[in-house]
Amino acid sequence: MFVVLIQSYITFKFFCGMFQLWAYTRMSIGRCPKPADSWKKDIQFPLFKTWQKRLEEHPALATVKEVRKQLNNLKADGFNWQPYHGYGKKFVEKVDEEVEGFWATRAQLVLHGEKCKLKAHSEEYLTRYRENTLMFIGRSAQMEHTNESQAEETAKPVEPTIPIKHAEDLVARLERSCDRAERCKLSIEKLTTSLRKKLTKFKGAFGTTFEDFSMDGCSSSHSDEEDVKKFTITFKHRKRAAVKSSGIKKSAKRSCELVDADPLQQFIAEGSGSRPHSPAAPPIEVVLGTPSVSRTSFTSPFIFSIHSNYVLCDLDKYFLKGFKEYYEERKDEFDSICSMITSLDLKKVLQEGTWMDTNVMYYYFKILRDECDTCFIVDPSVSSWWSDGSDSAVEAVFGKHEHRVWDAREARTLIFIVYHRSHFSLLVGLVDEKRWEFYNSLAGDRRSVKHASKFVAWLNERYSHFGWSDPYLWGWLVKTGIPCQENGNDCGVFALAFAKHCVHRRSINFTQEDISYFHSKIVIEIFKRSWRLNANDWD
Amino acid sequence: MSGVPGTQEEEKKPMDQSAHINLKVKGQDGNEVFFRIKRSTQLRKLMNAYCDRQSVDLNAIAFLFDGRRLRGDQTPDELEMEEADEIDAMLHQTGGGHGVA
Repeated sequence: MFVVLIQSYITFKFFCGMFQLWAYTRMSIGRCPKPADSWKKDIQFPLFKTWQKRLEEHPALATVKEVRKQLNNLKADGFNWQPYHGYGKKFVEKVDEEVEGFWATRAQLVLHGEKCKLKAHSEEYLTRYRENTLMFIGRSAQMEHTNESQAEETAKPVEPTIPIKHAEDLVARLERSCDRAERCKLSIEKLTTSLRKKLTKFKGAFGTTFEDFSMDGCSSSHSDEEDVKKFTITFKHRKRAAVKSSGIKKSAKRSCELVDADPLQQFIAEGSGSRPHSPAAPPIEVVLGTPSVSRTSFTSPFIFSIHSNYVLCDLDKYFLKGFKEYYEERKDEFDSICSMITSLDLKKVLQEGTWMDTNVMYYYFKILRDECDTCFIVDPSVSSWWSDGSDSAVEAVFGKHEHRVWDAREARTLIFIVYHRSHFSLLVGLVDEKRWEFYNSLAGDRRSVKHASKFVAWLNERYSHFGWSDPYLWGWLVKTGIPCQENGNDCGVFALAFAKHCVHRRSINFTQEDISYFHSKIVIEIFKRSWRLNANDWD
Repeated sequence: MSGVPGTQEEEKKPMDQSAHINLKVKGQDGNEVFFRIKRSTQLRKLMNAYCDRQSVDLNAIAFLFDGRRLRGDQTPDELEMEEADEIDAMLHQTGGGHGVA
């Protein structure tokens, strides 16, 4: 009896080991691809021990939940379909020999042994199986969401259609939005009153310079009425569109989202033009395209755009003028509007010849993140924390429990600031094009390039530790033919300008002369955002 | 917290514990400073106190929690901070280019 137990234990261990070995050689989970020579040194038999050891180094990775998550997210290229490819004929022959001997001792058992008497799939087993098996592949958030409907789903084995709950949710949202469209006149009135309230607050912050602007602006009752009319028409139109598209589930959902969203957010979304996935939403375009010019210019505080000729628009000029003129006497007021950045910091950015601060960069990055939701931007100080060996760098890039690795995987563009010897440069990861690009505004600066390549090596190594080995295989390109700074102060602004263009995938064609535009634009955008965040008296 | 043991004191204690939280602020040089604040107090108070003690300018420092920057108007409650959580205080960097450095 004892011997049998021992034997079965060994067999169990053996198969576990085999499975782990198999997983180790073929999947990019918990594995760190290393250069050839150290890889050989590192390897120890049995192989699954290596795998286990690696996982132990990252306890967060070794949990069942984490491994499951990684398995779920495994893509076709994350699996090595030909693990022995390139090992040479001799190796294969040797393996064949060993396997043959092993097989010969067991073949008899397998072929002629007694059949297992246990019933293979009892009802009890199947119930357990359904309870413990993931039926949906994807991120854990989605998994949790669908957990409730899992039982029903598994009962019907085929037809992986949209869960009923989703459909019901969709219908409910549709109804709600239609209902809202009917009540739109009421909500439009609410919108105009709150807009007017905002304008008053706005004027308060900028004093009389704003007076001329608002006189021909939307505060006059006449244009308000006109706008209400426009809105009514648009909303009716939208209702029809929503009902029509209910057949096509995806687009219907999208239009619901648009209706549900905060009206200001809609302007932002449209104005930025940075959401390639969102289908064109005609109703909002109609709103923006209303003939009244004043309307458009009023909404423009909420619109972000790159001006092709790098000239400030009229409203931005007003902003800047107001900021400069009233800076001294209204300093406290400004500071209360900008929460963690002081007006002094902003004023410094406007002065020629001053150095950029990571605090300012941080807040500008927040704006970039608002403009484009497909980019992954981390704290601009990360590279300096990394060179100091601080844990903050790891936490800021990958998150405390590596949750930010998943954000990065799903993004289209990764943005990192590289800081070396008082010089800022920009590192961009193009996820869809599988390439790291390095933007340096100092021509012929080899030290930063060297520093950046070390930083990239660290990122690659960490990412593959966390189960994302893609970046390890990406190309590395030091960008040439980009604008260069002609002084010793502007590298930060250049880096931010590069970042802005990379996030939107625009071609870079500004020069040192256009940099003053970016100086002003950074201040204006940060101030606008702070002001917008502080004025949330919507409802 | 070293109150005289009594029935009333014991009743008060748990209330007190849930309302307050001990936080650790760790500087770039590894120095640690401990703070005890109410869960509903804005972190601005802690930041100011830290900067006063270290005699640095509030604008020169970024406070990080879980790798993210803290704002002065946030509270421990809002951030779901737990007892003995650590906040990092990091200096900002400035840069312009090698030419001046």
